[in-house]
Amino acid sequence: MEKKLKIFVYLLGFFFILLVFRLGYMQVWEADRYRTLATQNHQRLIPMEAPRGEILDSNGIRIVSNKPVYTVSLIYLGIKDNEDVISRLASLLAQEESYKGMAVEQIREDIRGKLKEHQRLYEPVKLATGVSQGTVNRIEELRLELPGVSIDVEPVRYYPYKDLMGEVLGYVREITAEELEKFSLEEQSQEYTAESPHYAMGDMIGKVGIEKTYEDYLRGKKGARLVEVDAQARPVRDLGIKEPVPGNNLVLTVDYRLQRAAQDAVVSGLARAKQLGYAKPPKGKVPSGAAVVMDVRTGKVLAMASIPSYDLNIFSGTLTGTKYNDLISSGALRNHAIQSIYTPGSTFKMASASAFLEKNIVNLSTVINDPGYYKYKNDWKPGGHGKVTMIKALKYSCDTFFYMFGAKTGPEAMSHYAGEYGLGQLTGIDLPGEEKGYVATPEVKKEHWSTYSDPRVREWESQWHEYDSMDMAIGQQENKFTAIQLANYVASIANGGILYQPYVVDKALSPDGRVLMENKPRETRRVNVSAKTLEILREGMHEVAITDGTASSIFTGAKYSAAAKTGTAEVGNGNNHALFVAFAPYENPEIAVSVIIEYGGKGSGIAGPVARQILDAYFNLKKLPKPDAYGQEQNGGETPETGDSGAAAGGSAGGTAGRVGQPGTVSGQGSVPARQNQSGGGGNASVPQGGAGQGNAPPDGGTGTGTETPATTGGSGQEGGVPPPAGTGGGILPPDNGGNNAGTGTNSGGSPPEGNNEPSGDGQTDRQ
Amino acid sequence: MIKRIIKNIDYTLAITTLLIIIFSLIVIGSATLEFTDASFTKLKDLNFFVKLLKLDYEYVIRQFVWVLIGIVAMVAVLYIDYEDLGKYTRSLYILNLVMLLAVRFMGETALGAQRWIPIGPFQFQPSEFAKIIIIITFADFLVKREGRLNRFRDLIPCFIFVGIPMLLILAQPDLGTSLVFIAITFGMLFAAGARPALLVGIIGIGLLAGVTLYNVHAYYHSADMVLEERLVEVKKAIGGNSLYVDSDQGVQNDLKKNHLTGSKKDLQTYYDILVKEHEKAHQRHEKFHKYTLKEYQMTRLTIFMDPESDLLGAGYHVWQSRIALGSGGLSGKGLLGGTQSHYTFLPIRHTDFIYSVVGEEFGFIGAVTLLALYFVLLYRGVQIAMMARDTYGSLLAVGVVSKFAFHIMVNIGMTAGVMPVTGIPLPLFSYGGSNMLANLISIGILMNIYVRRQKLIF
Repeated sequence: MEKKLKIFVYLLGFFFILLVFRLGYMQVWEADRYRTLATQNHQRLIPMEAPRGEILDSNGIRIVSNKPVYTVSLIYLGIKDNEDVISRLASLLAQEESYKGMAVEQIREDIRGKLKEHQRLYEPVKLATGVSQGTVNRIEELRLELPGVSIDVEPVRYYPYKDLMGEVLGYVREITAEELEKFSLEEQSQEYTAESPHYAMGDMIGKVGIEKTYEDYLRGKKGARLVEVDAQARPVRDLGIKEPVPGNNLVLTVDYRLQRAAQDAVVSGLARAKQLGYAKPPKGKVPSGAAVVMDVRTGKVLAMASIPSYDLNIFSGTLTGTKYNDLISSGALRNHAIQSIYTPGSTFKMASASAFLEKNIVNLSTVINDPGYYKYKNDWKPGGHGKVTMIKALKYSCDTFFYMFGAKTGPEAMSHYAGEYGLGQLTGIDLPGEEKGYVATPEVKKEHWSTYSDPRVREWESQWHEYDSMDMAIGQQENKFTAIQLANYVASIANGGILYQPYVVDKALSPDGRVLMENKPRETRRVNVSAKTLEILREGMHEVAITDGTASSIFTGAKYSAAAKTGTAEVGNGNNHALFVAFAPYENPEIAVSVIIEYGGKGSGIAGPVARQILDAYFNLKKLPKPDAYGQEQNGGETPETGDSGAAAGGSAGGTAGRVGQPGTVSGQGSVPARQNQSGGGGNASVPQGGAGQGNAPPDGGTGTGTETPATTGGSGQEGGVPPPAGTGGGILPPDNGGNNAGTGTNSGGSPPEGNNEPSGDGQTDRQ
Repeated sequence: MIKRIIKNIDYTLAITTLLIIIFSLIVIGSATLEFTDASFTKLKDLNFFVKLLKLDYEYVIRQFVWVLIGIVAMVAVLYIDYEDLGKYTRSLYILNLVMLLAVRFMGETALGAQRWIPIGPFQFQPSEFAKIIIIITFADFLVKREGRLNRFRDLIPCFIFVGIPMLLILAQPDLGTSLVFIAITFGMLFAAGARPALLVGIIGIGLLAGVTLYNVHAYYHSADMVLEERLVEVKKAIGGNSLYVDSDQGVQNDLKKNHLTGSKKDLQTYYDILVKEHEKAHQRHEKFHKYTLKEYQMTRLTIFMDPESDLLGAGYHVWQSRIALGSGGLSGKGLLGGTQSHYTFLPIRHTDFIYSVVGEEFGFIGAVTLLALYFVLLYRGVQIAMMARDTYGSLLAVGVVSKFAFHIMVNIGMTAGVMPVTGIPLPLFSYGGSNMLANLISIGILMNIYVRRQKLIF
């Protein structure tokens, strides 16, 4: 037996040595690998979204800001009852807007799908954004039964003025796979520097409008929080925070009050056209309208209206496919001021007149006798205008005069001078998607008819005929321009021949108020038209607006002297577009306006009053003091929230990505505190994070004391005290009690301050 | 007599046991401490002895009570001459069966197995004591057959003797303890003089049977699962969503084989065929589990074969344990420094996976030290077997050593990822009353044999 027992010991020894080798292999040889794995297990890098830069109007009023919303995420922990968690979560989220109208089973499927898509170990998968306070509370109460579920606060775009210049501002959405690919290709190219934006799936990106053009300025730099978590993904402590860097703010050239007036005016113009029965648009087509107001001395766009518009906040919530399709088909997403081209009608006459005058076909002493027709084309006024000079031809919009000399001048000279004024050319405005349009020429005409099916018609229409020149002179034929081109064209006439490159963004400010970029007036070119000609045009346009000119009735009682030109563009099927261009004051021009009311019927009757309203608003506003951004802050603070304004306006600076309900975690980065904080509690930027169950109360930053749990990592709350630059106050607004309906329009009391803020109103006085 | 016992006590065995238990109490106190906020992480910087005060003493105290009870039981065992135990073989054997049957009928279910009988506030785990009883009774059984164990025919009674209680345990089902029975049986048979070639052959056949069983199951299992998945896919296709059916090559081939197309009618026909096929496959699969190992045991084997196949599911335990052990490195993260333990990534860390905590907090050095202590214990056990005054004593000692050795190697092997997960605790170390009590009784038996090694003492 002794021998056997010895063998027994050897066997034991052998196995023990094997174990020692195994342990050595794991703990010494492979230790680094396992150490990394252990670190990955318990340390989580939680990205913190940087608030996007805000967009301010020329007065410093915030017209695009951010508000924090709750998001619910789930981390797959590999626990057995994950299915139960999903089921519980599905029924909790069933009332949420993101999942409205879905059965619990469908939601469960959806959650499973999202988890599957995103199978990176321990990485939270965002399930719902804009979750209501009530649901957040319920999730907090059930925290123990919902392991792996986390609630975060994230900034989303917020538009206090809803539809104000929606198409110009544009919107942000999640980056698409294609865009991501494009960016990653750029990153691989040599131009890539550390400063280049680095995008990841799920990031927001400006899709259109200013948000797109100025993406690089607006986008902040993401921060991150390194936390130690337990196996249930519950954070145990913060290891460090890299603060997100908020995006830079933009200051627009646009005055929000004038913009409001312009939008309202265009809306009322469209309504009037509809009411008077002028508009007989093709079926399914929603008539559009556009107005552009430019500073003739700089090229600054002071207002740009595009109707139909829409409430931009729609993009901050859950956007269903139907809603989106409705927006698309109504044309609301299109910026009609730069992306739609229209036949100019008689507003083109200054361009043709330039050709007549510059080519010496007509001079000031030229007089014709208008019988009401020229050759085979009738004037708009039966019987004609009698004796007509160049000036009078403009004043009465005498077609006969333009037929006669248009035929003589020919298309080349007219299209050349139209081109001089920038018509049919990109203006180079700092907005994406600008349309070019075209000026009529024999080539353009030929090309447009080249695909016509009937060969005989095609043959005939491929030629340029005399009547084409006559049509062209009055702005028909193949002329199609954008509203911005028309405004720029009038501006160049008004300012003595300088064609500016229009722009809507004045400057970019860093969060601490430094000017990072400033757009200076930039001349595209000097219009090669003699000063004398321009003088004649201005005088002609002035005549239009006085005594018995075609727009004289429009300007009755105006406290400024205007110069204008009406336009009624025939667009077939008995439909006419109403157009109107103007500048004012005549003596010392400041602004130019162009108005287009699609299917508006009459330039003078429909588009004219719109321009008048806008001009009135401009001159009224000039007399008013600049609106105080501070005053708006308070107003704006209340605006979107459903009550509870004190708390709401308070701790706004913080809260980008803080997890709710963790003791002692600090999340606010607070670099741009709300202005109330200065007057109030001194702007503590940290969002208080209480224990489970309480942590989701709206941070009461208004008082700034008491509710904060001690910050474990210093420094992050401090920045809150830095005074913000004038007019750039306000980080993002805190989650309000109203939850997700705040953005979507239940504002009961202080709605956008048109009525509230300005005693005299803007467009309102003239609106009757 | 007490004096004599004390005088003759085996201090090597006693001290080794004591060291292991002290080490275990510290590790239990550390393992059960969960970090829930930042304040806990400050503990890391404290002095080792101050840290000892910061341990979670709830389980430590409970375990300590069991240690005391165990020592009392051990001393009680010392009093009885082990030879007298042989006299009660028959009654002990019957008691064992009764106990195991009791678990069968009144046991509490945990993790799909009935293993405990509630006695007052305690949960009594008969399988721990079944192991001791089988050692005592089997040793007696073998003594009577000494020298007659060379043929396979001779071994059959032995297997029946051990097999009956073992089957009862397997039926709980407790695969781990059943395997311990096998280890004890073979260890004792080897020592009792059974032909080694025969034993190795039987083990070989056993392993072969295991592999066959595993593969047959894999076949049954996947057939069942594939058909189940196809059922779902075809149902979706009938409902209008043919995406899954179209992308499943297997379904496409199957459709072709049955001369069916993707039309709704054909799909319905196919669905009916599938329902029948699935029922057949499923019943076959169920039957397999009814008579052999359960699904979860099979899953454990699968995971053992490929631990990284399901890191978040069935492979989670093993994977986290390996991370804990490996990340400990040479000298460990220090007491209360283990992130895997204190952030609760490591499951059942105060019981089955306690060795991972040792590895994480005390590193390779700590892990090997514990292993060395165990080796001393086992070596001493074998020495006692050599010193025993009779064959019965030797066999008893060998049985105890076999039990300990198997437990230690399988448990540590499991935490290190070289053995499948079988739910076997680390003797004298894992938290658990029955376990500690039974182990101390086992030590008592060794001590008993040692004390009575010289025939003339008493």
